[in-house]
Amino acid sequence: MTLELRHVRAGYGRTEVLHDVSLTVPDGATVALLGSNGAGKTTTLKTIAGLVHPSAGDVCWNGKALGHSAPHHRVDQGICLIPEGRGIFRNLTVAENLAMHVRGRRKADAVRTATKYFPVLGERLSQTAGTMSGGQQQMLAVARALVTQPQLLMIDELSVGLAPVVIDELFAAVAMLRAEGRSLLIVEQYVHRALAIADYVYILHKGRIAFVGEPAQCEGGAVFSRYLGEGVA
Amino acid sequence: MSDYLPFLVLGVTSGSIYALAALGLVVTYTTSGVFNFAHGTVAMVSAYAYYTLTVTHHMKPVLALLLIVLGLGPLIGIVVDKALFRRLVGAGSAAYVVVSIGLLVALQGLVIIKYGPTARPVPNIFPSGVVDLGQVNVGYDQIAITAIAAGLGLGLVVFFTKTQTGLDMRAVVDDPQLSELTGANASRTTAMAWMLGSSFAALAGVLLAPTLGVDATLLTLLVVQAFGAAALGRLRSLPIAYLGAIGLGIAGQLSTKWTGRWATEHTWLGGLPNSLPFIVLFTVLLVSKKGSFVELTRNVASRTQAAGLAPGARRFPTALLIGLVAVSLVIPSIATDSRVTTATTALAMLVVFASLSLLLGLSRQISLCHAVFVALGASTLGHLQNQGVPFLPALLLSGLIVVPVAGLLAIPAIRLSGLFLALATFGFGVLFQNLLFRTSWVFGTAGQLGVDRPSVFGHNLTGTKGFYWFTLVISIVSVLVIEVIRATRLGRLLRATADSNVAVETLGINTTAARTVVFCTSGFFAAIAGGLLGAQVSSVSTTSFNFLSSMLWVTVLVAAGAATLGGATLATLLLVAIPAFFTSAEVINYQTAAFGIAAIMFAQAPNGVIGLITELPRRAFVAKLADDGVPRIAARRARMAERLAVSGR
Amino acid sequence: MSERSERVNQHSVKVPHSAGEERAGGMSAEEGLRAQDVVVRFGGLTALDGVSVHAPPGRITGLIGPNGAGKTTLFNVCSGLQQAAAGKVSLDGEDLARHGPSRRARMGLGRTFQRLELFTTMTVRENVEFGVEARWLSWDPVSQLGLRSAGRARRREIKRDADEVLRDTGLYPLADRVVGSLSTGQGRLVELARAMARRPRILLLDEPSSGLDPAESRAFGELLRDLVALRGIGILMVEHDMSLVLDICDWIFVLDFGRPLMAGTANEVRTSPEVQAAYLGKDAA
Repeated sequence: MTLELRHVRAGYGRTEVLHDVSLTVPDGATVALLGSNGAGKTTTLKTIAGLVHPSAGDVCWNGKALGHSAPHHRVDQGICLIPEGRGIFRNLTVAENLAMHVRGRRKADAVRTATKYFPVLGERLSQTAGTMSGGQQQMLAVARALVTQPQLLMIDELSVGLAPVVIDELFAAVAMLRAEGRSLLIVEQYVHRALAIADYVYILHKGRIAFVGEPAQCEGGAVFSRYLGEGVA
Repeated sequence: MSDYLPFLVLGVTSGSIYALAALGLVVTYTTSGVFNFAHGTVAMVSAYAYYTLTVTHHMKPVLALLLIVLGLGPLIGIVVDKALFRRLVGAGSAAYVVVSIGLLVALQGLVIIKYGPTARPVPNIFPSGVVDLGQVNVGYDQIAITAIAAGLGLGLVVFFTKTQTGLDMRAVVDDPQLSELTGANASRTTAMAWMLGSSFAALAGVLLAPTLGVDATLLTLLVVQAFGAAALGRLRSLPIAYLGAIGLGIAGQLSTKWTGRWATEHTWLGGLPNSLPFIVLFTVLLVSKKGSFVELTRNVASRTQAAGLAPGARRFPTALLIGLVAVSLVIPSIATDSRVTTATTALAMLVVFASLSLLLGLSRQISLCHAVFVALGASTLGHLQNQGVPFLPALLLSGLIVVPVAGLLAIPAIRLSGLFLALATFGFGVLFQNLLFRTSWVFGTAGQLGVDRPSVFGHNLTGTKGFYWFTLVISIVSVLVIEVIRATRLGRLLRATADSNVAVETLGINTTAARTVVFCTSGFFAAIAGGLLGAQVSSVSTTSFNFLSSMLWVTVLVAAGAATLGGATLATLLLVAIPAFFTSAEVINYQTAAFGIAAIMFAQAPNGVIGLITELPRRAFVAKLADDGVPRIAARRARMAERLAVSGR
Repeated sequence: MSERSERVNQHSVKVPHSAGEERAGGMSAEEGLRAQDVVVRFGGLTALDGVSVHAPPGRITGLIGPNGAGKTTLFNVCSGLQQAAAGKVSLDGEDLARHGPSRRARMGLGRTFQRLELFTTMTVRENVEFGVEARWLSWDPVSQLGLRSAGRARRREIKRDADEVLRDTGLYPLADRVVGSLSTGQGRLVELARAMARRPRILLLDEPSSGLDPAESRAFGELLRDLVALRGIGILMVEHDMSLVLDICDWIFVLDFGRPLMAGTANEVRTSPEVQAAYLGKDAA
């Protein structure tokens, strides 16, 4: 199950955000997508998920171009996006959020799995999701990946506004998914954490790929300046 | 206690009727994010369909019920979703409100075209007969309705909390994109949500048809009363809407009991039972905590959207203006008396539309109670004339008296926006109509007031032509003042506030005063127009202007163009002038339907039909201009360096 | 400060060459905007926990930190759009506590927004002229109705001032375009121009380079520097574009999870191990 983007151009309305993006996520690999704000990382993930349609280029999953298929079809094919900003239904309870993810099948199993990895969720099954703390909400968002067992999991800015210790817990869950052999595409502001688990790294800058390589090539000050956009045309 | 039992029982049964409607409203809102003003009209259409099936085609009532609730209702729902509201995704809430009002007006018109305005009886679904509860007799149909409302209420709660489809519907409204990401088909779920809501409306219509008779406006009115119950639960809570509806039913019955004693002395109390739902609606919206009434779904833009109106399009073409004035000057000489009368009415309606456009077009706030100010203007004029005040001062005075009433609306306007302001003004309008119109302060003890035509400076202007000239002068002056406001600082301020209130505030301007002024001005001129209209027909009564008039005016003005004088003029021509050329009374109904449809089509256009006409040549021209792109940095730097060098730094 | 002395101070060009210079009017020169120990809580979360910043006139001050660090919240507290649970905000020494957003703007605090708040139905020129005109409008309806002097002289003055701002920001060629048709970058310039037109003492810029490409960002930075030099305003800028911030800011406050992390010059921030750790994540992870 390989994900491939070939010369994708995409944007919103009249604004084009991605000018030429090509990347590959091989089966079972963990790929980090880094870059400064406005570079187009979220747009890339949304394009893969089907929320944004590319104006040129292809998004191919398992060799087949996904074209303009709707997001819910891509979910059936094993692509899962945890969007930025707490991908939860704020007006629904924790249990209902989980139920939305498994959609009628094996609800009890879902609750058990989620509770196993994030016990705090188990204590709050009937609490409205929007009233939980940021960290707990993000746990609920990640619990989705645990219960749906997707083949490609995309995570957009997991650690935004969270305390380090909470981020540790979340990344532990992510590491476990990685160990199960799922493909991961991670957008992360905290470069070091992404580098710690990535097989290799893409850096996006103003809608184009500026760097492809292994984490080892990124360590230290060089990636900091890349991240800042200095030294890039 | 037993003294109250009959009222309690009646309250529960009548409240259940409200409950059916309120549940449907809440279902639609929580599953689509749209508050459907036309919910009652869908009920009415279903009632008429029931009539057709059972009376014209002699179908069995129960079969007809099933066919309509399970067939027609969902069908209407899908059509409304795909043809009407799906196109509006991302539009401001004003567009949603206008489309649903347009739907109400259109369906109303279409039904009257097909079936005529008289009420028709239909066969019962439930066996007739009563149950004797001691002090009160309750019909089988009333029991059935109560049971159905309660059962459905419970069923809906279970549906939304325990079934996947119900959960999907709530999720799609919460976050449509995220729901797609979890594998739910958002498009199909939304369609099903509309089908469900519509079926509810259909059920309400059919169940109530035997009791109330099939009447074009009655059912719409009834559902409108359910708005208050729905508002108690912030439009989102089914249990509260149900309980609120029952509560309103009981309160209505009890208030009938209590006010019955005093109603003869204090006539306004007689209207209290009918007004309760609207008192609740208005109060709930008014006293709510800031931010508790916000749009439910992300499909509705949180800021008033209006596409750019090119500055040139705002000015009335001079040639056309001169032409119209010239025409208006020669009308008395060339036209028959009845045509002159029409022209007089048209001039007064022009002032109505111009004053409404201050709110709808300039500050982009939806007001659904404009008829109140028009009616008050006419009635105050009549009262003042009875006191011996001459026409012109009385006219101006009526305008001034209405000003504080209109200013009251600024209070909700500052706290609410979009749909909720529309609902608040709607509640205010019906409340006024039900409660105060029947009092002697407004329309006199007979419910009808005579309004005399003027005699100014000794000239008797009571004749057709005389009054025409008088109205012409007043109208021109009024419209001029309104245009001046639009073109000057206050107009700019209001436009800016409508675009971004927070930007205006952070530029140092407190917008409360300006908003209050625009409501007061709008009310002032509406009252003046009302006085003219009253004098035109020499009387005004409780039935002259009602909330349906307010809604109709909004649809006509939006369709014609709310932002400019051109739009107001076109609105007047469409509403008044054109029907005058047709002798058939049927035209009104076709007109109403046409306006509704036009409002639906033009809800998103920045300035209705007029806007399209004026924009067309302009757009072609703009397309030819090249994109200037980002300003040239080098040139600017050079200029800046020059300036810095000059200022010695 | 009386209205008239306010205007005198606004029209005189003041460029403090060193700290502590006295301005015309004899007021303390380096006050500007000062937020002290601001605490903001909502929904059980502490968005800001004892944050202090200072933005003096004549300087560009940066406010950076990862997403969710509370920067826009701090701006909202300063402009009066949000209540703080504790702490004090003052402008030129005067406590802003009991003043609403419009009053604070009249006292000299300008603002732009993360999500553009433009008057989309008006042209660029009309937006900027609105900013100019806002100098003379206050809260009372009489002035708002324009019943006082909106005479020809005043209109000429408005046009002249607006033209000046349009030229300074390079928007002059786009002056008659309707704002709704502009790109995000151009829109940001319009919002800046409109805010500048009102001649604020201190200007709060919320992610002004968001949506601009590198060339536009660079030009924008230079524009800000020039405007500060020319008009002596103080700028407090929230930004994610680190190159822009490190390039033009005289002083930078760094927030992390609603708490102050450090403050210093661009070089100090660039080389700070704490900032590197905050951005790159904890080494221990």
